[in-house]
Amino acid sequence: MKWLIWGMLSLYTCNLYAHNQLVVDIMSSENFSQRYNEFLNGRSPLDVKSFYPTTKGSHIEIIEMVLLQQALFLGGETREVVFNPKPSVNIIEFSDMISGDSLILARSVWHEDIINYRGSLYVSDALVKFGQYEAGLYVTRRNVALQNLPQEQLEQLTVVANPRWRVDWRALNNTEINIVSFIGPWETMLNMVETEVVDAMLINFSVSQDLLLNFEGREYVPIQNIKMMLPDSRHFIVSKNHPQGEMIFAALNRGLKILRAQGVLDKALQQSGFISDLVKDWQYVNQQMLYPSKAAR
Amino acid sequence: MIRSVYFLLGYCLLSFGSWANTSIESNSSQREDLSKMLMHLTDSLKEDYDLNLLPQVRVLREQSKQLGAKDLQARSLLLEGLIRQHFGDYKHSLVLHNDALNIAKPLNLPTLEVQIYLAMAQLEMDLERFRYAQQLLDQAYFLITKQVAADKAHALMGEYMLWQGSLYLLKGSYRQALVTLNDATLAEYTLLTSKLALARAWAHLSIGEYQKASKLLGSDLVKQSVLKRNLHLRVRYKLTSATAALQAGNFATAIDTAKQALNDTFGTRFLTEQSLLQNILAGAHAQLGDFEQAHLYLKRFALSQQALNLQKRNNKLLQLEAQYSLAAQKQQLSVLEKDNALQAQQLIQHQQQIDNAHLAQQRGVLGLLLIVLVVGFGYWRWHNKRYLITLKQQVAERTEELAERNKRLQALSFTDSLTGLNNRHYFFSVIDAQIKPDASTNSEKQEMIFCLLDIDHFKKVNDTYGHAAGDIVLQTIADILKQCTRESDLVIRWGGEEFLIVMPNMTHNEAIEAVERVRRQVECFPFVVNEQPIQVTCSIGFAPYPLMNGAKSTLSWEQVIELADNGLYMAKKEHRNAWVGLQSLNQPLNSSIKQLNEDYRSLINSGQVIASTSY
Repeated sequence: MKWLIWGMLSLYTCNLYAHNQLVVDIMSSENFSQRYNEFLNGRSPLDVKSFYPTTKGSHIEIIEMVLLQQALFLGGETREVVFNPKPSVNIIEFSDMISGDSLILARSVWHEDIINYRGSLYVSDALVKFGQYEAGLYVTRRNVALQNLPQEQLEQLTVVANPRWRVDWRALNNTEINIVSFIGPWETMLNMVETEVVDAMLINFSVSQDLLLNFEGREYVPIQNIKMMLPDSRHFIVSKNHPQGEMIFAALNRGLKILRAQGVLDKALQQSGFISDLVKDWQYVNQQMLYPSKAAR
Repeated sequence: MIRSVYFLLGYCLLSFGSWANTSIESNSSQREDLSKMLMHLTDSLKEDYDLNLLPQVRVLREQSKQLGAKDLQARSLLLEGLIRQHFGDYKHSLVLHNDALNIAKPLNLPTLEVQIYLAMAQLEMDLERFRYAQQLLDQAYFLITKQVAADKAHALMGEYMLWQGSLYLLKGSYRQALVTLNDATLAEYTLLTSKLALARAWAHLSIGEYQKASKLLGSDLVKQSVLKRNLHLRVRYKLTSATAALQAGNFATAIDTAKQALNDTFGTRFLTEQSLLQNILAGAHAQLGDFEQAHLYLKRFALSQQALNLQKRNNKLLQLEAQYSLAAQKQQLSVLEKDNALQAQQLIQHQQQIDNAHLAQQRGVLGLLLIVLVVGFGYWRWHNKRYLITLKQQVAERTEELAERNKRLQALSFTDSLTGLNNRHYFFSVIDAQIKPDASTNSEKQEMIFCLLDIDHFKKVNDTYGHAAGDIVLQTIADILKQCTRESDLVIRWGGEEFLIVMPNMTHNEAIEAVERVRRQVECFPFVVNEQPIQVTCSIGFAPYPLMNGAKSTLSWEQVIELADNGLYMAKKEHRNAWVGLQSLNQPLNSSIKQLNEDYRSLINSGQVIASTSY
């Protein structure tokens, strides 16, 4: 009997515990938990007020994880968030989300990638609005001549790009730049720049003060005064087919609205270096995608 | 059916035209018929790219070529190009388009040019050569805005917008596509309006704006009549609708619409639409939870994609080949250019060499000229100098000659021609120098003797034996005098038969000896005149110089000669063949020397004058 009571109690606690947790899926390929924990350094993600980077590498993924939790909390979802890495191999991208096996993803997604699944997915307000996402054309640091390439000579430039990264692909296709198509690991693409198979690669501006990107001891810098607008917005997605989907999405979107109103979203993007002040005055290569007009044919 | 009737009609017309092509009237009517045929073909083409139209298009081209209707020829080329392009024969269609353009350009038909540019732009879009497509569209835009007449420009602008918008869609610049495709003023062109609306709806869907897309699809911008006639547009419409339904979450509608459309595409060339529809079906089924169906359509989608990729790859290969041949051509061109440049350089070098040679020649000529000038000048100078020298020499010679002549003249003037002795002139010219006292000589020896000699009875000789005999006597006497005197003595023919002998550095006693020797020589000389020996004598008077006249003064040489003459006179008067020589004066002479003549004896006798005589 005693054992029974103990068993029931433990089951209940487990159940209670499970109910007190919100499972947020992470694609295994995008598991940044280690850097996420380093950044939090014991803090609660809800207490994070400063988003300045303290770890190496791209920072936006970590910030998104924090912002997601802050938005959910502000929207009324007070349960503790647990990140759950999941393999992403499936017939259709986001099929777990569509089927309702997954509730929510930790990372934001390009709107373009989910437009045909909007019937099955709740799409949050934009975390990164159209026109906010900027990237640079990174060349090797030793290639000084290219670093100062004027915009008029971009037709001389060859850039490696993955056609599956449709937003990058579209952005580059609307410039004079020559594109070498490559489907494969990001590191190989960077190596193509290193070995001068291509001149440059489109990469988020680095968070470091001089925009320098250091990858495994090799250094890369963006072509000066030139930036590219990635022509899409980024959103969090929530499954419509998950029982909690509607509720969680409501909380999330509510919270995001509050964060937007408080200016936390922009602050986070700026402090994290995702929106870099250093390139504020740099020229867009694909300006016409941001401000389309008939005159700007 | 209707089409074949048209075709027959056209063919009959054409045959008729060729039968009667001699008359101008039939010519123009034939042209009209051809135009009609072209219009019909163009209309047919708008509905569908039917391969069966090709023979007619070719007939049209041939006929218009024969007629010389170049615009029709160009249009028929464009039509064939469009059909070929639609069936993937990009290479030939590009050739046809270019041919059409080459014909159209000189005709100044901007409308046709725009249509060709737009067709070429479509072709480049099919080949995913967006940059070239954009350039062609820019050319079309330029022509529409600058050259095409306003009434035609409107529709063409609509056409241009459609293709520019399509290019933006292909490039993924959806917002630009939306801005470009937005034009509501083309209502009268139903086909174009429908196409624009569909493209615009697709742009909306590309950024997830399915509500706007649905609204557009439901609006009267998309004409059902047009959809009914044009299969491709019909499929596009259904595809767009299905996508909108899928995005809206109306999976059943999406599946229904897509399936209908997919059925329409079987047996067509709309592979792109087919694959998109299959993807929609897969997505819709998956979201409905029907993974079996989803899997099925995904497989089909994959197959369609594979086929599309194959097509794309072939196109890309063609493109690469074209690029390669272009690159090869460029290389050849650049080699040729380099060659040309090299040749040009060589030419320039040659030219330079020629120039240099010219310059060198000129320099040489100048140098030569300079040398000639210098040499000429030198020669001139040298010649001048030589001439001067010759002149100088001549002058010197002449001067010398003159001096010689003068000398001779002088000698002549100083010489007595008969005896060869010096005459009185000579004596006067030299006597002053002779009597100059010479300090180095002895005081006694300083005395010189002036001695006058006169031939005795010379008049008698002349009178008796003739003047020739007188002359001989005179000459002989002169010879005797020369022999009896020293080198330093002066022997002068004083006049007539009178001679003056000046003997320097001689004492009175030496003078006596000399005078005596002369007297005796003359006396003893065997004169022969006219082969007869004659006796000739002479009388001589002499006096020394300088001769003191008292203590203070001396007598001049003229006075001394007069004194000698006085002595001669005395010798003649008293003796003949004798001499009288004055030694000195004891007392100064009171009277003039002339007057002494008579008194000479008395003066000697009185001791006033110390003299010697030979008698």
